[in-house]
Amino acid sequence: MDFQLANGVNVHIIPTQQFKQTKVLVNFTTLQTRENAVVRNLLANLLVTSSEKYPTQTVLSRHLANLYGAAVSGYVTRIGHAHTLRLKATFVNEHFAPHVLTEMIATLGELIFHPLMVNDQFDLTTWQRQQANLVATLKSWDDDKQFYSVRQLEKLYYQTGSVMEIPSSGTLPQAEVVTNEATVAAYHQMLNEDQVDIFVIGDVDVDTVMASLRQLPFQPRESHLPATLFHHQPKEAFKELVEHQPIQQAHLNLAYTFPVYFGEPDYRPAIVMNGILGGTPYSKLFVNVREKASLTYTASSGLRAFSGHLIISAGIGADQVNQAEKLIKQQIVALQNGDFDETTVAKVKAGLINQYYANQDDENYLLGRALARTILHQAQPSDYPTAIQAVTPAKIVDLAQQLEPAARYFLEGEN
Amino acid sequence: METRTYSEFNQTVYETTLENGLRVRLIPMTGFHKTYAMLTTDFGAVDRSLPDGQPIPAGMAHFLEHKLFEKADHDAFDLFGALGADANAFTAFTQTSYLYSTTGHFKENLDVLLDFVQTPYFTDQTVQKEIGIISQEIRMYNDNPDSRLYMGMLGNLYPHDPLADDIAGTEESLQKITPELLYAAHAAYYQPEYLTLQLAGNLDPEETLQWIKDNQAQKAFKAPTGKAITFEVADPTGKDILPYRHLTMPVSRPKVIVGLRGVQSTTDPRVRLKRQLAISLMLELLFDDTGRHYQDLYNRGIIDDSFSFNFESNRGFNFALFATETEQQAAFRDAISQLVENASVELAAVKDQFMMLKNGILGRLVGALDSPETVVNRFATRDMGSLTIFDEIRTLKALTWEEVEAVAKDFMEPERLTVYEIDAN
Repeated sequence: MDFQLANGVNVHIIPTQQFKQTKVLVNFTTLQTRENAVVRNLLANLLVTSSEKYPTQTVLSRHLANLYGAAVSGYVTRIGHAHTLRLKATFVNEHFAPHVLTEMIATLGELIFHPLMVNDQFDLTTWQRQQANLVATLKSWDDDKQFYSVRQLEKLYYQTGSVMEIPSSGTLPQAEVVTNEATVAAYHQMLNEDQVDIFVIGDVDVDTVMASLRQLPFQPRESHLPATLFHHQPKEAFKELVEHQPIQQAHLNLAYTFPVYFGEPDYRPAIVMNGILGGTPYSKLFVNVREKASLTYTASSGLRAFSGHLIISAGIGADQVNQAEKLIKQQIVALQNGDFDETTVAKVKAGLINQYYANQDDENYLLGRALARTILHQAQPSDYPTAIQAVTPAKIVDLAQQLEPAARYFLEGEN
Repeated sequence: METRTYSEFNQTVYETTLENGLRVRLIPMTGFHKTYAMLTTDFGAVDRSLPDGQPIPAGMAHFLEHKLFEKADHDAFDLFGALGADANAFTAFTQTSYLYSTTGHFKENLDVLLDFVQTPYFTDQTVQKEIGIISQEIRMYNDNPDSRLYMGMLGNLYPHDPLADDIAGTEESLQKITPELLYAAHAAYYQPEYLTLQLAGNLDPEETLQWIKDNQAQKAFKAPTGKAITFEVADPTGKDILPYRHLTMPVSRPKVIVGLRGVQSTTDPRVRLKRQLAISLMLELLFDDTGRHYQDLYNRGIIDDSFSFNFESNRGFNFALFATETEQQAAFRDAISQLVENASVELAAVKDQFMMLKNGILGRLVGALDSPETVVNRFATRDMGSLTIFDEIRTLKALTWEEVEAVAKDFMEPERLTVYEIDAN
């Protein structure tokens, strides 16, 4: 059910009696730039830390505990070129705790419209602490070597100097120099200019939800998002980077250009292809590289369907790198030559269809899907299980042949 | 089949123990598409000897879990795959669990689960190959500072117990694993009397029970021994705790963890559940962001959003942990141990927040009922009797301030604290 609070401020309600929890997601969308990612990340953290009415974390936490353990989180992510800042509230429904729904919508209103500011600056102590925390968080992300090496691959893959090169979180050097003034400017821009989409899922009364949401003073705004948010990267020469760190396990990451995008006719066939390559436990990478050859602990592939590429990641023993890499590349060639059996295809399809039905039991999944389709202006597509079943081996081969090596990032131990 | 009704959640739980000893618990959930199933043996990483006393090498429970999927002519993963189910398994200190979730082929998947777990197949060749895979897994964990921190803390709290060893074992201990040992452990600890099969979500209890009975009727098992799998720590007084150790490894920020060992042990599931809830609530009152000291520690940079604390209670041992990333490791240690030392006084000062925090935990537990996985995973082993998350919610509702005060007195003991640090090199 869709409503509009003001021009550019939309409400999407998904009533269901299945769940004991209700979730409200307020999503602010703008185009990502090289500068705005980090500051919006900090802003998301600030907004859920305190507000004028709840001036410390302690006061806000006690308020939420009083609402039967309600939780609010703030975070950023991106969909293609769109940078989204999200506030998400999770709480038990009216049957267990009456009035929590209206109280939580009012609380979100306080956090969004009345942050803790003094003289048009974010409260200095709070701002400094959250900025330091952001720096610390970005630093410690580098300790997860798998995650770190995927990020390095993405950086390598995107064009130097491009917006996409900057992750949605921003970078550590950027977080170190961000200012209070820039955060305030980003806040005003978000509040007055971003496209706003509010999603509510749970056992809710639509009129009650709308009456509460109408109390929030959102002003009308014009959308200035372009028609397509997908990232199409110009062709570049193959890029390669090798890094050494004192670690026991090596991490090999490969990027391939793959021009199939979310929601396009080839998108679902591409999901099947990825399932056969490395997206499932029945895939060529998992079975042939990890299980049969025992060369890696992890070996998987993933689609990047908002930005037209596919990545392969593997954790490998230091002495088995050459063998493992050779075998990984052989899997792609095999896929391109149609060297896969019907049983594997059937297993991958059955798994995807099962996952689709299982996802209907997951509120976060349902919210995320509704959000992506809204931002990308995509209608509810045709029946998923039918579309997956219809994918032919010829289509899989055709898609696999569109994979072109684009980048290789290798992190290995120091000898 | 015994039924227990929880009218406040419109929920019925069905439970029975088959003649062969297999315990079955069925939790139908209205509106759900998927069924989540988990078969658990109480045998876990701390169980390090066979009934005849023969030692079991570190990491063998986990190894056995990996190896059970592989059979002479097929892999159980593939059978689940052909049926569209999403299957997995995990090994913990006091349990090993095999699970799947599915939205179709309900009977067939259930048969696959029971058959692959109850029909072992090990050879020299498959054991050798698995050593390669698990060695990679061990190296992966060795590169992970959070895993090192947690294991380091356990090594301090329980220096002479299997808890000090990684669940996956070491590259050396894996070399001692043989097909004979795996068969012997399976024959001893995968008997139905040690297994609990739970299903939650989209299911019909009568029909499901019949499927299980039909499956079990085709197999022969030894008669139940009536003996539970038990584990006792080497020094029940906790005097063997190592107070401090540290590790240097490439991390971008220093980390510190404080462990607090509990010594009171009880085998009564209801007593244990109540104690577990009382300690968890007490820790929230003292340490979470609604408390008296959080904001101050946070503003001084002694803790940040990485701060976490938790209480873990298992068969034969229980402990609390407090961890953070910080440049001020000593200040963190001092802050935690002072709060532990002054627990009674500190607790009295936040008495007015008792109901608020209790309701907060209640709300989160009620929210957890949206996940068949959580409903099943929270209570899986024999040592917790027939308790479920629904009993947990009821027990928490009935918990009193006096009970929280009482657990603080026996649990918050500074003598049983330990510290483990990781510094950047």
